[in-house]
Formats: sequence, structure tokens, C-alpha cells
Amino acid sequence: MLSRTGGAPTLAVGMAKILSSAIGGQGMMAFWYHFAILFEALFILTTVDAGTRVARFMIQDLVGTFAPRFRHTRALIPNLASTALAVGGWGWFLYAGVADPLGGINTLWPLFGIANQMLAAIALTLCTVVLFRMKRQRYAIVVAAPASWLYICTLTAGLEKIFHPDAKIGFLAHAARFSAAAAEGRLLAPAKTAAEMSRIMFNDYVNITVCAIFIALVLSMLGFGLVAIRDALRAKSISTRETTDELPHLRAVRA
Amino acid sequence: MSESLAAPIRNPLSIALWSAVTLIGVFAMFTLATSRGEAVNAMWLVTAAICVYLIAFRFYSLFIANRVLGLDPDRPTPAHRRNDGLDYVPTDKYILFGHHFAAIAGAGPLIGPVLAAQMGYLPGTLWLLTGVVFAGAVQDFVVLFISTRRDGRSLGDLIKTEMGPLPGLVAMVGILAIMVILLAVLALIVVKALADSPWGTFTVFATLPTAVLMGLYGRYIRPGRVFEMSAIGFVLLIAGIAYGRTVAETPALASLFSFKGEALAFMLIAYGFVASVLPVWLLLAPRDYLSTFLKIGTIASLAIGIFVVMPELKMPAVSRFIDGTGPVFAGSVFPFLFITIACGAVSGFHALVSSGTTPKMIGDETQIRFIGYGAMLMESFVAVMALVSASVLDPGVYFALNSAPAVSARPPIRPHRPSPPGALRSRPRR
Repeated sequence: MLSRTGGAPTLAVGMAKILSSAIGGQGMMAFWYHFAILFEALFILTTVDAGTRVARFMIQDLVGTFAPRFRHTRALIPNLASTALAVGGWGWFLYAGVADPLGGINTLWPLFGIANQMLAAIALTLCTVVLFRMKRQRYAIVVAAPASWLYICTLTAGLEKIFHPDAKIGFLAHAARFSAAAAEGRLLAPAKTAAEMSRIMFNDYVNITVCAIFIALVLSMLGFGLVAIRDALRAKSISTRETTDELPHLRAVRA
Repeated sequence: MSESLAAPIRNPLSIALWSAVTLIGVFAMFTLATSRGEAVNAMWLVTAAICVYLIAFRFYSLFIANRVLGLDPDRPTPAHRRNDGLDYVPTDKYILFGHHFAAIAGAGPLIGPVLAAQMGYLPGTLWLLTGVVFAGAVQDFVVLFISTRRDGRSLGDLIKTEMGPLPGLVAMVGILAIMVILLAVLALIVVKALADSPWGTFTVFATLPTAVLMGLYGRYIRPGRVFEMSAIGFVLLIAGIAYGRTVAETPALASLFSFKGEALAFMLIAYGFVASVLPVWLLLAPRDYLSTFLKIGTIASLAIGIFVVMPELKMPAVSRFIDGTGPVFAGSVFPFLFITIACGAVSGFHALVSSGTTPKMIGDETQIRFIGYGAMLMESFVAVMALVSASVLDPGVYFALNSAPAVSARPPIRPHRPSPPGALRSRPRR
């Protein structure tokens, strides 16, 4: 049971320990371990195929902006093409992670966290903008504060993942260490062949690119957010676009 | 602060009750934070978490509902205005809570806290609790509110209408890129857990015919009998786990279900493609029922398990790996703890759910508080239990499991052992 990275086996062992002391004792430990693994795998697979569907609709929507025919979610060709694109996208990173001699999770989990928290920062930016447009900026701190914290964390983490001088953290330093060794013809653990050496360096550069794209993205959303807030402050009245509530008398009272 | 701004409490009984909750919570927190050296019971952690959730829900979420957003029970929701019996359906608030919770509770709340346990249980607990109260649950709540007031439109669409077409386009591309990384990492976790494990692989494979069988049963044999369908599925699931032992112990069968990571990755990719193209009723919908029951069942049994067993936390409150040299992931507490524990504290993925199916099913605006804020507290509780599960393991076992071959001591790969986790009581490794 050594070196089963990824968190899932650890959690399963912990859960098995707790559950088997409640039911079944030591003899049931293996059963509970696999129960926990199955539970986690089902959790994840549900997310993976629901996520693939969502990604597929997003691709159809995006391409549809330029080629309207692509939008028909029932048409076979756009459906297959967007699914292939969505699956190919995550599949490529999955394969790279599995083939990564460093174990994959070690490298990719920070990217996962950065990506997920950046999405939260974007969502909270939207929330802040909407509060300003509702002219409720008095309370904007409720969403602006967590948004700022997430911007600080994700941008710092993203920059550190690229530029940190410690090769365990910074991708650039890591790649530099491996390319220096490769130039001298040495092999650095865990690589056992020259091909693995170059694979590790290639992965480093892919990760640098992904990180840089995410940073650019979240910075531009921050800029857009600030502009939208400025515009909302300049506007004389509520500028948000809610669906009308069909209750004009109520609205008049409240406004 | 929120207390005086939200509905004032007048009833003395209520004052006494909430003072008691606060006192218990503070005492539990104090015990967690100050004990050094001796083992702490996991119950303190669970108690502290529950008190924090209760107080946050009662006061802070009410403040957001009344003051910040101004939820309006008289305003018709999209579920009523556009009721089509398909996507837009007013739904009972407890059922909708279950639906929303199942949709947001992916693998994230389970894995992040486990990885973060290398720094000890205290940093993770503090971030889980403050993160969910002030960031995660607020995000889910407000996004759900915004989307509900705008016909249940999606996040990208909302950014387009509220911030402009260019930000909308950038956000849509960004969301897509982020999704790709999220899915890849989640799939990687499955691959890592199943590689060279015939028992696990067999059990997971067995869910596919089970789901298809359930789908056919629900559509052709006895349509509409969701409970019967799920019961059959559950029995087959448990049978699959039990039979998996036989598979693993029979060499001929075991070799059939032992795969290297690469092969599993290709199978998952093929599966992802097929699952996305197949009609929903055949594979996805029945599997969703199954996994929702399994999710709620497992989480409940884990909670009961923790309450019955009351295990002691073997992990120290703060380990020496807060300096960033940890073997599980590298990097110091700031910023890496805050991105490692994502989903139990705050998760952008939830914004997609809160602007997806849930807003189309809200029956009354005031329920947004219970569903948006409440379900996220529940998810955070799952994360706390995952943290407990990782922290009841002996630190030696924990680090042996979680070090990549490159980092851990495997003689053929690396001659010298990694520095033993000195600050931790070292125990015999498995």
C-alpha cells in the first residue's frame, strides 16, 4: 500500500479504519476500503460525465457564436465534434498526468486548486458588480472581501508555481534543473531514461503555459470587474438587468 | 454585527440557546487550538464545526438574505413564471436541497483536506470554517440569487449581460479551460486509486452494467419506480464489492482486472466520450440516482461512525511541513493551503451548479438562503469529516501512502530515505 498517491486511497484507509471499528472489525477493513474507493470513484465519475456534458454545451455555444449551425444540440456532427473536443481536452491532461514520472497529482493538484479558486474569484466578481449595479454597494464588502482574498491567493500561487526558485514548487526552476542535468548527460530521479527527462521538462512547460493563461485570464476579469463597478457608480439609477418581476406596484414601493 | 442588523432576537429562550451554542463552539475551538503533545478526540473538531455552521447560518446568512440581497417572497421565481414541467419546475425545498447538494459535492471536498492534512489538522480546519462561512457559502448563495432573478441563466451568460460582451467571451473561454483542468485532475484521482487494484477496478466496472440495467428497468420494465430501481442497483453494488474480493484472490480473474495507469486513462477517456453521447436515461440518470443515494448513505454512515467510534486525532495540530517542504504537496501555508483545500471552503465549480439546474427549480426566493448557503455548509461538513478520516491515521501510514514513488523511499529508485517526519511521532510503516 505504499505510494498510492492522489488522496483517494488515504481517505479510503481512514474511512475504513473508522467504519470497521464501528461495524465488522479488522476482518471487514478490506471491504470498507473498497466500499470507500467505489464511493469516491462514483462521485468522481458522475462529475466527469456531467462535466463533459457541460463542457460540450459550452463548446457548442462558443463555436455557435461564430457558426450558428453548431448550436443545435441534437445535431449529430456538432454533438460528436464538441464531445470529442471536450474529452480530448481533459483526456490529454489526464494522460500527461498518468505518464508523469513525478506522480501527476503532485504537479496537477495545485493547478486544479488554482483553476477552481480562480473560477470562484470570477463568480464573486460578478456578484460584486451586480451589487453595485443594484445600488447596494453599502454591502458589497460581503462579496468583495472574499473575492479579493481569492485574487490574492490565486495570483500569488500562480506566480509562485511559475517563478519560485525552489524546484519543488516553481516549474521554471524545475525545468531548469532537469535541462541542466540533461545537458551534462546525467539522469535525475525519478527519470530513468533520457526520454523521461524530456517528458518531465515538456510537462513543466505545459504547466507554465496553463498557469500563465489562467493568470492573464483572471487579471483581465479583475480589470473588467473594476470598469463595470466604475460604470455602475456613475449610473444614476439601478442598472442591473433582472427579469421584470411583473409586480410594478411592489417595485415602486421598494425603490 | 450581523445580529443587530438582521432580525433582532427578543425571545430569552432563543438568546440562551444561541449563547450556549457559541460557548460550546468557542470551548471546542479552544481545546483544538491549545492542545499540544497529547492526542485530541475528533469529536472536538466535529463539535466546533457544527457550532460554527449553526451560528453562521442563523445570523450571517440571514443578514445576507435580508440586508444585502433583499430576498422577496412575493417575487415569482423562474420555476413559476416559465414552468414547463421539464427544466423549470417548482420543487420542494428539501428535495431541491438534496439535488443541489449532490450536484456540488464532487470529489473535491474529500481530496483537498486529505492532502492538506500534511500540515496538521488545525490549519485545514481553520480555513475550512472561515472559508465556507465568508466565501464559499456566500458565493453559492449570491450566484444562485443572481441567476434566479435572471431566468436561471448560466454564469457565462450572466457575465455577458451584466459586464458586457467581451468580458462574457473571455469568461466563457476561461470557464471552459478551467473545466478541462478540473475534469482531468478528477479523472486522474480515479486512475491513481484503481491502478493495479483488481478489486477496486472490478467494483467500478460492475457499476456500468448495473446502471444500464437500472436504466432499462426504469424505462421499459417498470417505468417510474425509482425506489425499486435504486434498491436493485444498491444490492448489485454491494454484491459487486463483495465479489471483488473473489476476483482479487483468483489469479486468473485478477489479471483480467489489473491495469496500469496508462491503460485506465484510455478507458476513462473512451468512457467519457460514450457517456456524453449516449441518451441520458440509459446510463447517466440511473447512475446519478445510485451515486446520490450512495453519497448521502456513505456520508451519513461516516458521520455516525465518527460519533460512535469517537476516534483520536493522530496527526499533530500543526506539523513542521507548514514551512513548505511537505512531501504530499510542496509550498507554504500561504498561498498553497488555500488552493489545496478548494471545494470544502470555496469552490468556483459550484457557481456553475448555482447558475445551472438549481435556479430553475426554486419555488420561492426566500428558499435560496437554505439551499445556497445551507448546502454549502453541508459540503464543508463533508470536508471536515474527510480531514478527520485522514487525521485518525498514524502519520507514518499517512506519509507512506501519499508520497509519490519519486519522493518516498523505494530502494530501487532512490538510495536514501527521505527525511523522516521528525516533528511527528514516527510509527512503524506498513
